[in-house]
Amino acid sequence: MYRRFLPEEIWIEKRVANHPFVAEILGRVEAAIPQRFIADIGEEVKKSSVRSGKKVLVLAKQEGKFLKPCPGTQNYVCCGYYFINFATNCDVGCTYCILQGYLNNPYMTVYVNVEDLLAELEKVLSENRSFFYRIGTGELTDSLTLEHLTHYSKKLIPFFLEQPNAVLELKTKTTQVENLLEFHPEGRVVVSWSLNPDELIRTEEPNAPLLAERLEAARRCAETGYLIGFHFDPIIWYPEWREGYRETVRKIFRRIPAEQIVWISLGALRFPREMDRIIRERHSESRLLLAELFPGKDGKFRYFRPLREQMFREMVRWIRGESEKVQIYLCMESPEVWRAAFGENPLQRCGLPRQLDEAAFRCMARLEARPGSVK
Amino acid sequence: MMADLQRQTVALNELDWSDDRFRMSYFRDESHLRSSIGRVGLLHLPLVQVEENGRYRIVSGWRRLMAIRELGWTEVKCSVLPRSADMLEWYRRVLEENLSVRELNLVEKAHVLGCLRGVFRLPEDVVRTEYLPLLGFGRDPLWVARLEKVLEMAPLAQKALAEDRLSWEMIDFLAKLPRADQEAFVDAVLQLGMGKNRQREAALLLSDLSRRIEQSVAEILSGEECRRIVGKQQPAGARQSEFFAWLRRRRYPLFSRLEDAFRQWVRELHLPPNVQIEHSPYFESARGQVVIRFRSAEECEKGVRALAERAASGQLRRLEEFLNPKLQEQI
Repeated sequence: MYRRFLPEEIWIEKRVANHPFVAEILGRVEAAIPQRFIADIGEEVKKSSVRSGKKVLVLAKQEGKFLKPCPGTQNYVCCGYYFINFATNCDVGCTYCILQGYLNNPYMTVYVNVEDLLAELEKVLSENRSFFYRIGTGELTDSLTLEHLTHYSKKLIPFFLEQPNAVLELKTKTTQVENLLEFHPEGRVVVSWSLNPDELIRTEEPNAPLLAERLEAARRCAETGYLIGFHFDPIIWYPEWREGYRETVRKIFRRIPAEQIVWISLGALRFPREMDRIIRERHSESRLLLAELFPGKDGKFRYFRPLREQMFREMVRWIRGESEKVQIYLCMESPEVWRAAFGENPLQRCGLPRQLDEAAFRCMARLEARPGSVK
Repeated sequence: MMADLQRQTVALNELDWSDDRFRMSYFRDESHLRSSIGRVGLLHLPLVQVEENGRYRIVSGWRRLMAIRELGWTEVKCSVLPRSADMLEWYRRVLEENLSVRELNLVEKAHVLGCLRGVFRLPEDVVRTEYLPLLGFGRDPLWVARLEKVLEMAPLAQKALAEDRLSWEMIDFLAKLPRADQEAFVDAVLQLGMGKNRQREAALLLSDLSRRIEQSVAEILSGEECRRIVGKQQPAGARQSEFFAWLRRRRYPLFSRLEDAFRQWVRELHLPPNVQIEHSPYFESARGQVVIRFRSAEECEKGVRALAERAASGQLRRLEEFLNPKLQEQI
């Protein structure tokens, strides 16, 4: 069952102690929650013996760049995505979460120097007006899981509404969309949900909202004028995967108008070698590792290629059965798998980044043409 | 404290053999000790404590007492502790003495821990900080839980652990299994003479397979094919290789079927031994490769000619099945 993250302790880097955003966040948590002032989260992590980190909220300064290109993975097709590193870690606790083995800081950390973030974005976007950016915040955290404490979306959305060459994607499994409903995004912002059938949510995403709850949140966002994205990532094989995913696809199109769905991505379960040990140790009941997984061209474990091709082919067929036009793409897959999934290689026409940009433009245009839309 | 001790002759039938709370020796070969006592008698006296009912609880010297019982003695001189003795202190002394003359095996260490926790009710942190280092485990708290699991294991597994024929890394795996599964696994490990890395590999494959096909480890290992492989009159190495090939085929049926079909097809090409056709690792990409090894132009030409002939007769066309394989059934 989904419960909003409530910190048991808050650590504040001394250098941001007087930052107004810190005061804003502290104003939303119970006064009784202990606060600790620390020099630097990096140093704190090195000397700390506590590794759970799930109930500590760290308010820190981002010293490096906020905006980074998605690193992609060797020998697989990448979509040319950018992400904003505004927070790290996630409390949703999915069994397959790559962050378990990726981050060396185990604490929920929010970077509060939002003025630096916006300045950096402004500079990059204005200096490259001929380039269209798809920028997400859900790479190293769930985009909305701390929304009730940070209201980060209220700082990002107004900025992106003014940008002619960027679209913001907020990627989540949560239902924390109340703040989003205050805006009239008119297609400049994508809110997207990572989806799985309820059987898998219960076993592999036990702290996340159920499918119907996520779709209801998506419906509210669609009604407000957001573009909606869905990410079947990771798609997980289980004996009844066909029924589970087919029904999930049906439910999407029953709740969300197809013309507002900007893209649906498909990515089969994959993880670096060390995740195998982590999953076995931390989630011994999980059935994730029982399928046929082998090292791929980038060394990450993936489902046996013919198996995931079959899964992708079926998913594409089911989605196409609901909508001919919605943009479907594969995340981190090889050209061979693209061909098998779509029957041809759709990337020959133009590259994946361009296709996704065009999908965003098409959807924006449809929303702008909608009667009653705010101009 | 030594004043507590009295030397006394005790009839063997006055010993309470059912009370093994302080026993520290398990899975040891008694034959050497027995013959030594038979030749020169008992030099070091067993230590016992008077019980409320007047019988004697064995504190130290289980092996010696079992040996003299088998030798047919009816009584033995013992050092006797009163009921009021500080037994934790005495147990610690016995433990230290044992450790100074021999290495305790894993099961014996588990019994020591069981006694400290179960009989003396010592808190976990005391055991961890004071006794684990003494037993050679540092202060790793995982060992407290792990040694407790050893005491619950099937006798065959305990024996294999004690004799160091089963890796301690198998404790956590075996502890999750019912005793019948533990016995079946350990039996296979021993029969196939698996080293520690192989044990780990087998445990992983079997536990995944067991969950995947919803059969117990014992059921899997008692299958006809498995029994045939394990029981073959062949060196352990050859049986091990066959066992793992069989296990992998069951664990990865889709991959194995394709791999077997590919190998069969390559065999049917009857290529010269210096020509090899390979698919990509795990069939992950649509790129295969042909390797021709040669030490002369003639060998090279032969290889190329052989391939050209197969190509001309259309035999290589089936490669497509292996470069872009499709599942025949819906999985």
